[in-house]
Amino acid sequence: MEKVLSRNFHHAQPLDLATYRAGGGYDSLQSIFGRDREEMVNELRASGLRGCGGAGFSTGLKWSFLAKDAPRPVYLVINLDESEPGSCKDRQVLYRDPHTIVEGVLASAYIIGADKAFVFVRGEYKVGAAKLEKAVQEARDAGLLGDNILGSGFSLDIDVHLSAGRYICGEETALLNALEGYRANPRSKPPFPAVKGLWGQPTIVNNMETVCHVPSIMHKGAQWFQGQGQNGGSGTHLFQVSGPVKNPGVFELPMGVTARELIYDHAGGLLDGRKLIAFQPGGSSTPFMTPDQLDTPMHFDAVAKIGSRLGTGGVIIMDDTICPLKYTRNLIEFYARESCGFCTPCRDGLPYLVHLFDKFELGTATAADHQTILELCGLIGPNTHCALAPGAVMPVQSALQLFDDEFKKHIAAKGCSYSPVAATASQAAAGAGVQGGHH
Amino acid sequence: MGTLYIDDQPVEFQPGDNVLDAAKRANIEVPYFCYHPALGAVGSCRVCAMETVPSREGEQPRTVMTCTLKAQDGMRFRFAQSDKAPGVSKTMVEFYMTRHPNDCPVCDEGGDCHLQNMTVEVGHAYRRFDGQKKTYPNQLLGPLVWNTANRCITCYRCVRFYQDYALGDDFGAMGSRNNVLFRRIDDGAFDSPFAGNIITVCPTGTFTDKVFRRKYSRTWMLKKSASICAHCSVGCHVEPGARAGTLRRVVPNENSAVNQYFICDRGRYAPHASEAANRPLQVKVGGQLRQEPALAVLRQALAVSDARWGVMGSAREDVVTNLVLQQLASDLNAPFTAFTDPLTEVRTKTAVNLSLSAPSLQDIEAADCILVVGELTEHAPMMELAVRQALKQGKPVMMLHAAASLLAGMVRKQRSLQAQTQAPVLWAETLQKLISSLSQEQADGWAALLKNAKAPVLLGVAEVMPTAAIKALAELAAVLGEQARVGFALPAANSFGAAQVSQAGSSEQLLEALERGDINALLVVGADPMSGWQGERWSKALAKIQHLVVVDHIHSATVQAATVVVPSATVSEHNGVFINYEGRVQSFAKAYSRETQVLLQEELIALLSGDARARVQSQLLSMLGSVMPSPGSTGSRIKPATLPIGQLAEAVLGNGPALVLQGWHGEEEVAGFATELASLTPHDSVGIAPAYAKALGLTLDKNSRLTISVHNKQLTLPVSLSAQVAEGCVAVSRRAFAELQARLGDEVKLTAAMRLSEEPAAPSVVAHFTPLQGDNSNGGLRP
Ligand SMILES: Cc1cc2nc3c(=O)[nH]c(=O)nc-3n(C[C@H](O)[C@H](O)[C@H](O)COP(=O)(O)O)c2cc1C
Ligand code: SF4
Ligand code: SF4
Ligand code: SF4
Ligand code: FES
Repeated sequence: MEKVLSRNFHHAQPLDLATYRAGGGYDSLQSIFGRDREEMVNELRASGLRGCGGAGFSTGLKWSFLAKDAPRPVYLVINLDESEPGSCKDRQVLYRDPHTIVEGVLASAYIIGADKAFVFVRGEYKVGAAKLEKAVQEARDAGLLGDNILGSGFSLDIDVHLSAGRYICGEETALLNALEGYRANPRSKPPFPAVKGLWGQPTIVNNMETVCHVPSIMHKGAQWFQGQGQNGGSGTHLFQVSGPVKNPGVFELPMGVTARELIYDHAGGLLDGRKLIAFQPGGSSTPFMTPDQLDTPMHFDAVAKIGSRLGTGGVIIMDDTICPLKYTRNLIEFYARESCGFCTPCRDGLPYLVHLFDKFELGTATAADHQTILELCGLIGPNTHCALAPGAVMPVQSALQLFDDEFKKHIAAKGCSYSPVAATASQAAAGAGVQGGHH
Repeated sequence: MGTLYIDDQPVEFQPGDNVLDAAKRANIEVPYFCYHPALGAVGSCRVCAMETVPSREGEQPRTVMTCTLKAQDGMRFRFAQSDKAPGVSKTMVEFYMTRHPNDCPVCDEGGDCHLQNMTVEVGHAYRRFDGQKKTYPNQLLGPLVWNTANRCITCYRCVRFYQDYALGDDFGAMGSRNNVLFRRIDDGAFDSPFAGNIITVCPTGTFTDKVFRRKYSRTWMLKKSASICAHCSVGCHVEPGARAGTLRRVVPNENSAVNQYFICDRGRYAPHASEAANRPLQVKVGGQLRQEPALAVLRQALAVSDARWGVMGSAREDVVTNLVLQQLASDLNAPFTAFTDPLTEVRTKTAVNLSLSAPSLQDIEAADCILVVGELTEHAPMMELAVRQALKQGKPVMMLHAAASLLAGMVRKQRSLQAQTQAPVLWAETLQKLISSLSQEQADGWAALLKNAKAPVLLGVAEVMPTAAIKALAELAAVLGEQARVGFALPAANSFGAAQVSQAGSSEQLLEALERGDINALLVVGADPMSGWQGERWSKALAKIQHLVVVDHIHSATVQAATVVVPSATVSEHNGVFINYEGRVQSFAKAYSRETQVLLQEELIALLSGDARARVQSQLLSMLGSVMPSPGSTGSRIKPATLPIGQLAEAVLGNGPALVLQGWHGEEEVAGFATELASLTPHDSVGIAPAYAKALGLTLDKNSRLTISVHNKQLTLPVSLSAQVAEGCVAVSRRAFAELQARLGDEVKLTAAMRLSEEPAAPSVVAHFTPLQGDNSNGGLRP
């Protein structure tokens, strides 16, 4: 496997343009400029590249939705909002190798024929955004951005936009509203952004990592990309592991590496004396996987097959020192807090779930409450305006299945056996974050 | 057209329908909150659920929101038969109730509440949520609208009306998650003339009518009627509600051809003038209150032996009343007018003659290019709201005006350079220039926009437009051709009708007859000549006469000068017919009776001779046709013959600054007596453009004051520097006009007065609200 996204991570500082180019940076443009756009989109489809923002949608297919005679201007919007607990991959590239982003954006913009690109950066990544801004300026100064880039006839500028905050800004249509200066409420779909996006114009929204894979695919070919993966996955991916492991971090590994390799070989395994109870494979909105599923290849289809989602590939570990209910409660509290407040089931349903989980911790829950959680999850998930709330209830539904006995134990024992009630309640009030997973 | 199926029942739909529209039309009672026919669907409440019936093998049934789903032929849903969909609706309401205070017994909306109805409909009867309810701070929003934030269910209707429909920007959604609040940034009254509609669109008791609240009744106990707003020439449909002989509230009455769903704040709150403490409710003769029937007193008063009568009707009284008065005048051998001011009469009639194909509000909304001449917001608010609909769709709106106007601000914001200020005396010339540039091959600017439009609309404000400008605007429409429509906001609710009833030059003739002493007695019904544009002339003339009999329902200056005052009914208290700016004949029905002795205008007919009564009937017939529209219907439009007008000299271009009217949207003769609305009247100031002040050699800032001298009168007012006031003009309020005894276009002298540095900034047009008593008590609802 060849490192692509993290190939420059060993440098102490982000590379300046000259050094980046000396290492082959921007060479991919030679394989892109002048080539037929449709052919490149087809190659992308063949490569098996799938969206790294969580949904894993085929990037080539998404790009093919852009009508050939789409009204101008066409926009490319890069989603670098990365606010889901457990996800911290885009941050690494932003802080350590911003030219990789510029190159990815430029390559992708050329292929879709975008007139302008926006990079929407999570508000907390302010320092990183400044680094990216600097790289963009270097690229402009060198004629890699601007009018008639390298004599190709193609013109592009990149606008780096620092988000005003909140997780929901990462939902692509909420992101577009935020960029336009409106409240970050998601829009109704259809129309999809490819038809009617930023300022009503055709817009492609992609995760940062997704576009960063594009230059090498174009340079080295779809087959090369496929060969980078394992066990049925294509390409590499920036996996993340957080929680009670010895070596938490971000690892560029073949798509399809097994969970066991990822957690034990790369992240160093659990802290001494800890036992793996479950893990979320792709960020805080993904259903739990259990130790018996450790040999599952970490790629979209394999993880989906066992009933979870690869999401962003941000693994969060749950060990035997934390109450699974408390862990789940924390997740749901995060989503309740990050709800944009637009639709009823999410805005008012998630706090209701938090309340019910609190009853389990405080020892006042009954079997009826257990039943109510199950029932409400089924009514919230499929009936919201956007995908935030479905992502919020998925781990809860999974916890209900996996930890059924824990719910019952909490009812019988009138509280949590993991920690005294008083401490839990005060922690609850302080809104303690998910272990290892909150930024 | 197409057919979809709900519970196997075929449901027809129209193009553009969503599934909910179609279901509603088929009388299938789907619950909904965020959907509103005028505001559309956004899919925020998630209550309007149905279940799909899979059309293909392997497809799973899903719950879908019908309000955001476009209807397509052959779609199939389960609704009543579904075992999923009702549970979704019910659970959404259950979610609301985890925050909603369930304070229906003390809520103004109680019993007339969409949330209450839907809660019962979906069957959420018992609460299982046993947590604490979140509470939210209420906001003080001025004298008209009351906020109880806990009751909000976050359907976004209010902000969708306020921002998206009415283009307001001082109210919006703030915060996120279960902490979204619909508020202004600062406490205080709304900037928008349409703010009261958030009460109408809110499906809960979050926004309620603050005036109603102070004299509250459960709404099912109100006496209601289908009425017409009496406060401008648009003629919006309203429903007054009264109880125990007093008016409690006014709400819009839905209709398809005029104002549809909404009314302006003037229309909603001006009718409360009927409850003003100083309203004449008893007959007064020679300053003495009498316990006598109004009609008898009037009959006696008219029977005095030494009187040579004149009769004045009014453009704010209905058609029948004016016809009756005209015939009464002929019985009395007296001159008659329905206008208090000769200039207004000429302008009104000129505009009426040119209004025969005036655009309806829907035509205005659908226009692809609009030219507005004059400050439309301040004269005909709902007509202006129709303009905003076109503006919102990015259609070019151009505006020629002389004083600050809310619309002008909006036009400037959306499209630079498309609002132009100019002194009214120059408007005709500007329009003529536009006409000649239309004929040029290479029309540009406004001419190009108008020429390229498929459905251009030209709107003028008759009261402030010189007759030459009125004619030029109509000529412009004629030159543009068939597709162009021109209409005018007229000075009062029944200006169109009043114009039909009076002879050419009638007000000037009446005034002159008074001034010459030909008549020594005047009967005035529903007019206040002493406060109008010719106030000073009328005051002088009326001071000389022995008999001034005034029939009215406001404590006007003319009422105060009367020898006999006969209290009359407000529009909600009697039946009648108004003709709106388009010539649309609309009748209104009495909602309630006052328990005191007020004269119903329709009783005046008793004063007529038999012949005269017959003439009233035949005139009505020839004017309106045989079918009188029923109250609540939007009637049909009449196309009367051209009215004779006569000649009148108008102001010409002078050397010094000319006075123009700085109106505001809550202003009208009767509205001034509605306490709460009138409390929002902007502070008096003199508006002048900074550049023009400089050209006059005046150094002004926001603490400066200016003295205006006209004729022999002087008035010193704080300065309001505004680029929205035309060069060559200074803008003052109607009150200042009255005080100065000045007329539109009068030339004035300006002198800078002492600058008061300690004074707060001169107030701008935006109203400042002084809290009324009672604002601190919110019925114990504050969390
Ligand atoms: C609540 C919510 C938050 C999201 N946050 C992010 C994010 O931070 N970054 C991201 O790339 N995608 C995020 N997504 C997914 C985006 O909506 C979108 O699918 C993605 O940016 C598409 O890019 P891709 O096809 O390259 O994955 C989020 C989705 C939801 C529903
Ligand atoms: S699901 Fe949550 S985040 Fe998404 S629109 Fe509804 S309230 Fe907003
Ligand atoms: S205040 Fe009323 S209209 Fe506005 S969001 Fe709340 S419930 Fe809806
Ligand atoms: S626009 Fe005129 S008629 Fe309509 S509600 Fe307002 S004041 Fe009344
Ligand atoms: S009415 Fe359909 S979601 Fe509100």
